[in-house]
Amino acid sequence: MSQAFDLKDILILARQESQRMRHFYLGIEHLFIALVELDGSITRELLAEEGISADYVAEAIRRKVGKGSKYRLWSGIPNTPRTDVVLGVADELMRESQRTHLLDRDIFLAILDERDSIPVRVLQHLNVDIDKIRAKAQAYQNTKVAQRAFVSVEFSPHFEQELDADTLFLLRRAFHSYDKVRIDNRLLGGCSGARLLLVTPIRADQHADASLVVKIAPTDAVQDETRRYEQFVEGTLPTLAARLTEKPTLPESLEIGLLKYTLPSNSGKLTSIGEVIQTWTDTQISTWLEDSLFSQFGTHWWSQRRPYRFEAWQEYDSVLPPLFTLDIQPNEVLPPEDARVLKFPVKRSHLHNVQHGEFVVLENFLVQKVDVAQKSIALALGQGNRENRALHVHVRGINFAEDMYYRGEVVERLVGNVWQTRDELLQQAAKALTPDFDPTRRELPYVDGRTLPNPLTHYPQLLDTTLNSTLSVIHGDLQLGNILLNDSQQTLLIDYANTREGHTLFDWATLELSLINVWLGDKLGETWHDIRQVAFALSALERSDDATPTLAPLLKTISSVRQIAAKCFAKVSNWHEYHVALVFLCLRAFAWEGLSIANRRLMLYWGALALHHILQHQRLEGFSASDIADFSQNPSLL
Amino acid sequence: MNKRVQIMVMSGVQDGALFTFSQDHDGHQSQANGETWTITIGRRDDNDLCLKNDTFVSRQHANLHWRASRWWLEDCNSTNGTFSENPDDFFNDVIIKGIVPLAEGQLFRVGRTWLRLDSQD
Repeated sequence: MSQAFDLKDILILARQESQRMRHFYLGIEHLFIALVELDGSITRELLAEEGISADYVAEAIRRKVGKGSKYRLWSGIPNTPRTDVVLGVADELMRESQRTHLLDRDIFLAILDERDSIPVRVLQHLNVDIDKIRAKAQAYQNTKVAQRAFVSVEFSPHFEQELDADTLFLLRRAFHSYDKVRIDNRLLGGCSGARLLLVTPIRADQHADASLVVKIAPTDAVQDETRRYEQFVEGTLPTLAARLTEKPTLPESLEIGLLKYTLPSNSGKLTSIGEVIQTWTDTQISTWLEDSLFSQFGTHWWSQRRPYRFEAWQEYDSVLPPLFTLDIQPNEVLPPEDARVLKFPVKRSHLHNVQHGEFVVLENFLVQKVDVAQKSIALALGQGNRENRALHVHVRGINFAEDMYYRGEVVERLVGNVWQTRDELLQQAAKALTPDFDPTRRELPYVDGRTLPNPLTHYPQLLDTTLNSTLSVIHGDLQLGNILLNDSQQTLLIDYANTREGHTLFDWATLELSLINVWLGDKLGETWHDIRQVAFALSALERSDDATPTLAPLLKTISSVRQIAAKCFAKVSNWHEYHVALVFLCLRAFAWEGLSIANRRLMLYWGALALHHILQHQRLEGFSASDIADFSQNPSLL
Repeated sequence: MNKRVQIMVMSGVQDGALFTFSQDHDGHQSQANGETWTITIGRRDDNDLCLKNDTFVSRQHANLHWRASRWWLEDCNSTNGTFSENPDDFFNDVIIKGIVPLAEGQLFRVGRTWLRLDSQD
């Protein structure tokens, strides 16, 4: 027995379809796909009677119409002229049946009556007799809109947080066919700021279905992740892996959306690896890294290793804070003649010494993120690869009522004053950690009166160095929080928001930092003195001394990660590229407010140690001789 | 003789839009007696049929010619090609090279936009 749906249900699905296809208009193809995708709709049932599955017909329409381009040429999602005609016909059909609201059957009949659209042509190609199916649809008498039951949201005793109204609404919409959903746990997740929840949907007969992980993030981030999943992840996953099998839930009225990571069946209880890894022995950890993580996902990901020569900024500029934040100027303001103009291709030297208040003109930057609440947008220039653009610039003070910006759109020209530079932002982050030293100096104080090079002042030169390295598909955020274990100790990865082709070592350097931060967690002493001692003890890794006993398991774990990283080097035992990755990822962690103060302090020192290693082994342009001096051989030099 | 044709857009954001062309006012006549007539299609404004909402359409993409009492479709070395429907395979359209005859009512594709030409006589 079919069920009737009202116009709102159909439009929501149709608009989502249009966005996924990058069409950004509402056409008959989107309406028709929505009609066949509604579970229990008359369209779906009548096609099934003809022996045609909903997925097949939707795929056939998509194939015939083709995907749109990545650029949006207009705002909003306008109706096509044909859609207006069809909705008009549907409206007449509704009046004829003396109803006041449109149902899915009216739209289905109207599309069949119009006769000329691509979906009808596809049906004809599939040998559907249009007159016959129309007569059948006409004969259906069910006009009652199904009352959708209210999905209740329960919380397990472990879950102590509260969820806001929007999140609850999203969960109800995403699990609308269930009786209730139980929120089991909140997962750590990576550094994207998205929320990850472990939930169990429960059917009307109180039978609990398999648990799954949902991610709640801003709408455009959800769409972007779906695209990355289709491009890089789908088809490269081992049999046991978390997949995005369902389409994302993206209600029109909200600025957040929901993704479901479906887990292999019978996963049982899920644990985040961060919670258990400290209870393992070092042999267990190295076996897990080698046999489970690396060998399971490596074949299609890190083992690709195509030769790749790049300048550090191409891969790592995007992990640092924005190059600068601009206060937008109205369109009619003319910048002075000597204003800094940034357009493709940007000379790197052109970016040095940007001053507070200076006029900057941006040309042909791509919109990466729109934040209506903060009145700001994030832009990047079309360099680096598509997934990981360099030259991030934030623009604030935007009046969205006058000027709307869309993710993926190219902004031809935008003028603003520099409000904050990257250096200012990093220095501000340093000040927030109440340093007992001057963070603007070239050196940081270290143990026994020695010093380490300061990453906060050295990173610009490091961005310009060239690396001989390799390119692979990478996860892009391989934090412990994104790795789950099921009952049978199988490894599952989630969160593909940063998956891309990139520097192979990126993931392993990320994992190393995540291990250090999770492991030390609240065990770290707060004072700078304590931090320096811990950094010194951890640097035993490179000194081959005997480690401090309490840190020995962590050190062994880090060296297991590094053993795997070493397999991914372009050249045997060339640690340079790994340390470059570490310096930038440490700076990201250092500036990240989600991390504790002690951990952020340690990240600065861990980055300094990596930088020290780089300087010892390679002379860099722009570094002074004292930077390169090896303090451990001759501490009196400094 | 004043010949009139309609071109119906069959896909994209302009799906369902109808454009009417008359030989006296639109396109180019190369012979005074009205035996030849050309309608240009492309993304640039100066085309007779301007498809500026499809980024897969070249600035000057294709031409329709009325010659020897029938219609011909010509691809102007466009980047993404001009296609006609394949009678043998619904999903794999036939790419058009040079000039080919075009039947009225037959669908053809310029970039990502499907079009159909109908005579109004």
